[in-house]
Amino acid sequence: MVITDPPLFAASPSSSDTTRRANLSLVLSLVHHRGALSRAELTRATGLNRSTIATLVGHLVDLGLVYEAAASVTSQIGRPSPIVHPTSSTAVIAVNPEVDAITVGLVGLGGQVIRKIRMPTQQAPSAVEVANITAAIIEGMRTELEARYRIVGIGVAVPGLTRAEDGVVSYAPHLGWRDEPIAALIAEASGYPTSAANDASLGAGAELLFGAGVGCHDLVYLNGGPSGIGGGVISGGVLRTGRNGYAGELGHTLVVSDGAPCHCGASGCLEAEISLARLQQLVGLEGADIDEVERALHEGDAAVVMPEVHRQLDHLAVTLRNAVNVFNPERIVLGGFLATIFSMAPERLISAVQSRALHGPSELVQVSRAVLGSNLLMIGAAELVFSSVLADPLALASQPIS
Amino acid sequence: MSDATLGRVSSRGNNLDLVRRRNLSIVLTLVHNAHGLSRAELTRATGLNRSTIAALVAELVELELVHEGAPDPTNLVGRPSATVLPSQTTVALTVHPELDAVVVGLVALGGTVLRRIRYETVRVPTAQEVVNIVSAIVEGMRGELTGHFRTVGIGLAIPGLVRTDGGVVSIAPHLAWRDEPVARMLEEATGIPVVSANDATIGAIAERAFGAGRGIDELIYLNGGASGIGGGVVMAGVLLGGASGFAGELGHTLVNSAGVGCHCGASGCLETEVSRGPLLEACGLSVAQADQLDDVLAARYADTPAVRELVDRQIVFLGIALRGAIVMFNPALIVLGGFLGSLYRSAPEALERAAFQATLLGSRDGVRIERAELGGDILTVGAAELVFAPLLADPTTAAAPVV
Repeated sequence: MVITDPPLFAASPSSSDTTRRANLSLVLSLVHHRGALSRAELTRATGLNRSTIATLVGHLVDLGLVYEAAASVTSQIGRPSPIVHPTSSTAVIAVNPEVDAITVGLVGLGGQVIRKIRMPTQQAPSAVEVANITAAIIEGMRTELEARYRIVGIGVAVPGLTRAEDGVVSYAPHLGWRDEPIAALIAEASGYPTSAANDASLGAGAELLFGAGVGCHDLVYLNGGPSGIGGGVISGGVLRTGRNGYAGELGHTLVVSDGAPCHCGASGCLEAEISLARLQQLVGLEGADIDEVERALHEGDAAVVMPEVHRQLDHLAVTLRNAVNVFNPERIVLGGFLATIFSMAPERLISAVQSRALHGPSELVQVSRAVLGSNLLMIGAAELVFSSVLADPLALASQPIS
Repeated sequence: MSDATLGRVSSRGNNLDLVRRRNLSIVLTLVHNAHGLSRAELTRATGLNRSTIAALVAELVELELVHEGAPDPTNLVGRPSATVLPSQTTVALTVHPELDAVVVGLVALGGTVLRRIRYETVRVPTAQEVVNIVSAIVEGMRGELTGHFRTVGIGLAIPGLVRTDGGVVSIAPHLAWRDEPVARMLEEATGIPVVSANDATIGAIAERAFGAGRGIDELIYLNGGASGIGGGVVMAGVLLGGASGFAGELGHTLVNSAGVGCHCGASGCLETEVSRGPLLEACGLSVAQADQLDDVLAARYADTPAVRELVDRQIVFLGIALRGAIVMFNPALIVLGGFLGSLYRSAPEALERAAFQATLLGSRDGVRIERAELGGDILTVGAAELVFAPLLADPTTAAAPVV
C-alpha cells in the first residue's frame, strides 16, 4: 500500500536554490545524527555523486559546521576517504525545568552533552524564575561561550503541554503553569532565540535519533517522571506532534473504568493510576531520584514491592496495548520509572501486551528501555534548535563564526 | 519543529528534475481534488507564476492526465481563465468484498465514479472467490478497459488488517480470512497491478480527499459498520500506516474495564461496547433495513426511553474512545462514519461532553467532530485514491497515453 500522499497547499513549490539547500541539509543531518562519516559513506547514503558531496562538504566546512580529518590508516583498498565530523563548537543551550530543579546544559552539534548544570530549587519554579536562572547560568558561562562556541539558540524541554510553534506552555500541572510564554521569557532574559516543546516529545526524538530508536521508523516513547507520564510518537521516521504539539499524551488514556480522578478532568487515566510517588513510598524514599528508587526496589523484599509493581505494570499494559493497536510501532521505548517497573518483571508486561493486542501489530513490536539516561532531555531540547540549523544550514551563513 | 529534520532524513539527494516533478504533482493533485480548477486558481493556490502554471498544465495535457475545458461563465471579472479538468479516461478499478457481495467500481481521475457493480454472493466469499469474480468482471470489461481507458491499477478495500509490504491480508475476522495474499492473487489473475488497504484507512483517505476532511492535515476517521469499528488516522497530511500498515485500530482500545470479551483477545474494546446490532434491534429494524437506521434512531431517541438509554450508553463509550484518540493524536477533526455518525446525530452534545471530558488538556481545544460526507461510494472513491496516489505523487510515471 502506498501511504505517501502528495501534499496539498502545505508544500511550497521548489526551485534549484532549494535543491542545493536540501542537499546541504541532508549531508549535515547525516553527520549530526550518525556521528563522523567518510565522504564515501556520505556518497552511498545520499545517492549523490562524489564531486557533489565534495562541494557540499566544502560548503559546510566554510560554514564552520563540519570539519574533515584524515581517515585512520587501517582503512582498506583505494584512496582513503576523509572523515567528516560535526563541529561541537556549534552548540545549543538546553534547559529543562522540573518540579525540584532547573537543569541547563550545553550540547554540541553531533548531540554531545558538553556541560550540564543542575540547580535545585526549593519549590516548583515559576516561568520567570526559570528565565532568570537560565540567564544567570548563561551569564556565568558568557566568556567561555563567546570565546569557544557559536550558540545557535536555546531549546527548552517542558514537563507540560507546550505549543511548539510559539513556545507557550498552555498547561504544566506539576509546575503550576498555565499559558506561560516560556520561550519568549527566556529569549528576552538571555538574548538568544529560544524554542520550547513538550519534554516527552523531545525525549522521543532524542531516543529515535541517538538512542534506543536508532534504525526505527515507527516508535512510541513513554516516559514516567516526577511530574507524571508523557509520551511521544514517531511514525514513518517523523515525530508526530498533532495539530498544535500535544499528540502522544498517552498518560491520559483510560486504563480502568471508574478509576481515580485525574487532574485532567477525566478519571481512570494511566497517570492517575500509576506514579513514581507510590514507588517512592513503597521503599520509603520520598523525593528520591529514579535511579535510587530503582536500586531500592530491586534490593527490597519482593513480597512487599512486587504487588505494587505488578499493579502498575498491569495498568501500563493496557495503555501499551492500545498504543500497539493504534500506532502499530516497531518498538516501544520506556523511560523513567516506567523503565524501572519494566525492569522488575519484563515478561509480565510483554505477555500482557502480546496477548491483548491485535495479532498483526503485536507480532513485531519490541519493548525496551530508553538508553540516553539523564542526558535524554538535554539532547532532545538541543535537537529542537539544531533541527532548524539542519533544515537550512545556509541560514547560519550570516552569523559570525568565532 | 521541522518534520523534515527531526525525523530521519530522507535518504536520497535532490535534483532539478525532482523540482519539476514535484510541481507537476502539486498541480495535478489540486485539479484532481477539486474536480477541475482554472489556471488563475492554480496560480493562486501554488504561488507559482502564470507562465510556469501554463507550462505545467501543458505537460499534464501532453501526458493526457488533464484537459482544458471552456472557462467558467460565472466568473466575469478579467480575462477568462481556461478550466483545467482531470482526465476522465485515466481510471482505477476498485474492489471491496463484503459479507454477502463483491463490489467492483470504475473511477476516473477526479474521483468520479463511472460505474459500480455489486455482485451478490450466497455466502461470505473466500479470497479465491473474490479473485475469480473480479477476474470475470474485468474480463467482461476488457475491451473497454484497453480500448477507451488507461487503467492505472486495482484498489482493494479489505475489512481486516492488511500488511503494507505485499498487501497480504493478515486477518479479516468477519470474512474469516487469515494470511491471504489476495493482492498478489488478483494481480496474477488480471495482469493489472493491485494495491490494497484496510477499509477504514481507505475511508479516511476518501474523506480527506473529497469529503468532510478536505484540506485537513490532522484527522481521525472512525467508521461503524455491520462488522465492527475501524479507524484511519492522518497526521501531518500523511496517513498513519505504522510499521506494517495496521495502525489506526481505534476499535480495539479499552473503553470499559467490565466489558464484553472481544474477538481480538482483550475485553471492553470500543468494538464490543458500541455496535450496530443492538441499535437495529432496539429500533425494530432488520439488517437489510440498516440504511434506515440513521433516521429511525434519531426519531426513537426522542420518543422511546429504551432506545435513548441504549444510545446514551453507547455514546459514553464512544466518548471515552474519542477522548483517548484526542490525547493520542491531537487532531483538528474527527470524522464519524456509518452508525457512529448516527449516534452523533442523535445526541451530539452528549458525545462532545464525553469526548472533551479531559477539559484541562490543550489537545481538546478546537477539535471538531463531524459526520462523514461521502455516502455509499466512499470505499470505491477511496480505493481509487490508493491507486492514483503514486500517479499524483509523480505524474511523469503515467504510462503512455491510450490512442
